[in-house]
Amino acid sequence: MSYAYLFKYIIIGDTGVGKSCLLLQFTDKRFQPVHDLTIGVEFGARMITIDNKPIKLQIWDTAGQESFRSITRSYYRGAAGALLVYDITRRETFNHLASWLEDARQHANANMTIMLIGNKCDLAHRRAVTTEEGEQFAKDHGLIFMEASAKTAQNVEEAFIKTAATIYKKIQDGVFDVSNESYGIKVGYGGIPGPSGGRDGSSSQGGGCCN
Amino acid sequence: KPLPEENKESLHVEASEGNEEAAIEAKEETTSEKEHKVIFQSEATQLNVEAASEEGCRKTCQGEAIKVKEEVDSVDESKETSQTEATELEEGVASKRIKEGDAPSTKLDSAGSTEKPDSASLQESKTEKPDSAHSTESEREKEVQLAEETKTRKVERWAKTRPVLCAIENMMNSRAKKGKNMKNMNMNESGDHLPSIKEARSPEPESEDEFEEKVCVNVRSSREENDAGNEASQESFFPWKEELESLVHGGVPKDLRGEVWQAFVGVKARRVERYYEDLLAQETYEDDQQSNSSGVFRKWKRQIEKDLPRTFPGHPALNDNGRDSLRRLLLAYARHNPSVGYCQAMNFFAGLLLLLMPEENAFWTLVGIIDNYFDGYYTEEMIESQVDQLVFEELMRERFPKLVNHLDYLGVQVAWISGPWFLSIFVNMLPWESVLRIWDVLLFEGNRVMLFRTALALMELYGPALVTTKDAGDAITLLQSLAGSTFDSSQLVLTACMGFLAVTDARLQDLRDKHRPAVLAIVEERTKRGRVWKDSKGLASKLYSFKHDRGSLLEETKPAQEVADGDISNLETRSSNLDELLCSLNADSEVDSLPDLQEQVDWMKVELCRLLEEKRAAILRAEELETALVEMVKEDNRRQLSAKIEQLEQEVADLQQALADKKEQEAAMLKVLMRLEQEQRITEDARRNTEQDADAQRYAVTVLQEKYEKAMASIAQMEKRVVMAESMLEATLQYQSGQAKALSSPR
Repeated sequence: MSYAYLFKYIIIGDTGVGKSCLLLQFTDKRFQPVHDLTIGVEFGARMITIDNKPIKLQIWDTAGQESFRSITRSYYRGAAGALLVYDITRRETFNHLASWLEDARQHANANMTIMLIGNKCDLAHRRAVTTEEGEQFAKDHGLIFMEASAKTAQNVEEAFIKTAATIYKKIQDGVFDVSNESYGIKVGYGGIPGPSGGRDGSSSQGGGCCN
Repeated sequence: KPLPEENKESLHVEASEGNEEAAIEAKEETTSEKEHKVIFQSEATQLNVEAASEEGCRKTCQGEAIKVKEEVDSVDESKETSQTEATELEEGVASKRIKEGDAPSTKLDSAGSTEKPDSASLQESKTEKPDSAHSTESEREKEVQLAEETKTRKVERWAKTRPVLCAIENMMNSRAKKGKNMKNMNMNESGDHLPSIKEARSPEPESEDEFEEKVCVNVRSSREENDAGNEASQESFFPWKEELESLVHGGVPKDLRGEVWQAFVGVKARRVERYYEDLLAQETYEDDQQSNSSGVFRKWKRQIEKDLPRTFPGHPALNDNGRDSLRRLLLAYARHNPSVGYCQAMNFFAGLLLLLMPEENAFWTLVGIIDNYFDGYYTEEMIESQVDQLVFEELMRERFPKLVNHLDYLGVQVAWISGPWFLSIFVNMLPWESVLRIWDVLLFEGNRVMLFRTALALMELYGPALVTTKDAGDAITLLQSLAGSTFDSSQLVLTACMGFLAVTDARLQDLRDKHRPAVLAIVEERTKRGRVWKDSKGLASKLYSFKHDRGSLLEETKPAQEVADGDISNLETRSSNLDELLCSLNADSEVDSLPDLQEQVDWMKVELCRLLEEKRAAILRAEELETALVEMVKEDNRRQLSAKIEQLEQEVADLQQALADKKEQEAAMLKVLMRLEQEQRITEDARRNTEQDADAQRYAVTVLQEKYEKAMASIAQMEKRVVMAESMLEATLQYQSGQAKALSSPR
């Protein structure tokens, strides 16, 4: 499968905030209300298109429990983007964001793009963290922010794609040295898009046109 | 599968009986009427000996301890009398009670500050006797059950298969007790009973009822045979071990799996009467109290609650009842070992065990697995788990260098693959059948070797496919799809066990020792850094605030205290464990002294917390001062260093000066030398001249000599001529005279 760029993502956040569900919704477009919890790490991948360029997202979904942090820290290395997830119905998952951020800053490269996601926004009646608080936190720490729902798929695609677009823009601006893979970005081989302009921004097909 | 409720109930009843006995015995001790106890014990042993002669041969295959206990049991009557004696004694010394209330509390004092295992062992030592007594009691009861066949089928199976495993149990029990690797010592006992297991295995395809009966018959007959031939077979225990091992490699029959696993883990030896119930009671007690339960426990509890529906979702056995069992089991374990508490993945183990055995047995099996086999694996920093990852990576590099190179190229760390495997012991990572087969071997071996061997076998089986992947994602996806795929578990187990014999426990231990320091260093550094980050206000401002505003500093220490919260709560549980113990000890008659104790315990808890806080604050302050000191020392060092540099520069300058001087001197010397040379040359010239002169003179001399010689020759010639002339003259003269004569005398 050819792609112009490959971005490595990592999904972090407290246990039970819906990291695996977000990934499943993004890669498989389905929601599983109960599923086995993640031990260590799980993996998913999907193609997206940004600026008419096929981009492959390689997503590492980590275990959230505190004990596993010593294990999951090794996944930060070489990640271009991170989705930091909290649960809007559980205040403590929001309160722990600072410590997650600290971990990310310590173990990832400084240019990693971090997207803050307030998950489970379909459960508005049980909301414990307001949208404004989330926005404020993101603003204070230089993150992108979105509220999403893995259940209704609201903003799930957008969150992944917006992160990718931000990374893409950083590449265009020359922030990254793309030949250095420690930034979590790999330049593909079949990256030049074909003349057909028929792709929309969120299509998920592989770059089949280039072969 | 519903749990064998009746059996459980009977266990409960027995357990409570056992505990009363324990309480009485323990009280005997605390009343310090040891003399009486000695008498009682010697009496009991005497009776034991007598009973032994009667019943001895029936139970020879059982372990020593159990034998003695059984005999104690068989002389129940005498014991009862002594028990009543003990009660009388208690009443007699009731007046002393109030004083003795102090004794337990001091004990609490000392135990409270020691480690958790200590208090556990304290409990264990107190309940040991009635426990094993009970176990034989229950066994006998089960025989009765067998005869009557009135209970439910479940209980029957439970009872029937039990004796088969006696031997293995004994073997593994001693391992559980002594720690590790005492297998060979007890192999003789296990060997005897192996045929029964083998026979039990063969009729598996038959209907369950028949199967059960056969097992039962086989067991009985083989046991009798074995008792007879016990001594004869003692020599041949090594081959039996191998046979058992190969049978385990072949897979434990599914109907026996629960029992066999318990035997492997040594549940019987680990089991402490009432312990599980106490843990549960403590849980409900704190539940009622609500506010008292500490932060960590609340955290674990919430986590467990969250993970219950995420444990094998959709499995029919995990209905509401199943989930309740699972919850109780996990909560009890968290209380049992607060250094682990609750870690995700344990829910899978507990769930799996609950499918195979009753709740309390599952608890003890879980305790065995996590406390012994996987000691240090699921603790806060997961140190052993990290160490094992490094060890595995080294083994991989040794065995499959090409594959590892390829993974390096893809940017996949070996630990990303093996980490989830090891942490979950392959649950949810492989098809169920394989998981069970791996667990069979793992529990039998009693260490983590099988983890490594299986992982290596998987790499061998899937390595060729992995090497062809072009992308980290493809590689991981390939391995993640294993759980859904079907493959030959027998082949996997065989490859694991036969293909990697070089991977032994000793080897792994060596490698672990080699890699552990690195992991510890990283963990230590991280904690240090974490602390630095927490007080990242900067030294100067902190010192300032330390001097000017103690209040703010205290606030700063709060996060640190939260970290310490864990310790405190551990201590709290320990003390509350003891609390429980004391409650059970004094359950009958010491009701009035109880509140007192409770108060003391509370007071001590408060005191402990306060002391810990103080300690924490002191440590923090010390650290700050230390950093300040270090800073100052650095400053000082800098000054000293610059002084030294100056000095050195001076020296360099001096040396350069000296060098210049030397050069000048050298030049002067050169000049002198040149002059000397010139002079020498002049003198030489002079010498040469004189030599030439001398030559000339010498030549002149020779010339003169020649002249002289010529002159001399001419002189000699002249002389000759003179002589000739003289002689001629003479002759002439003579002639003349002759003539003259002649003339003168002419006559």
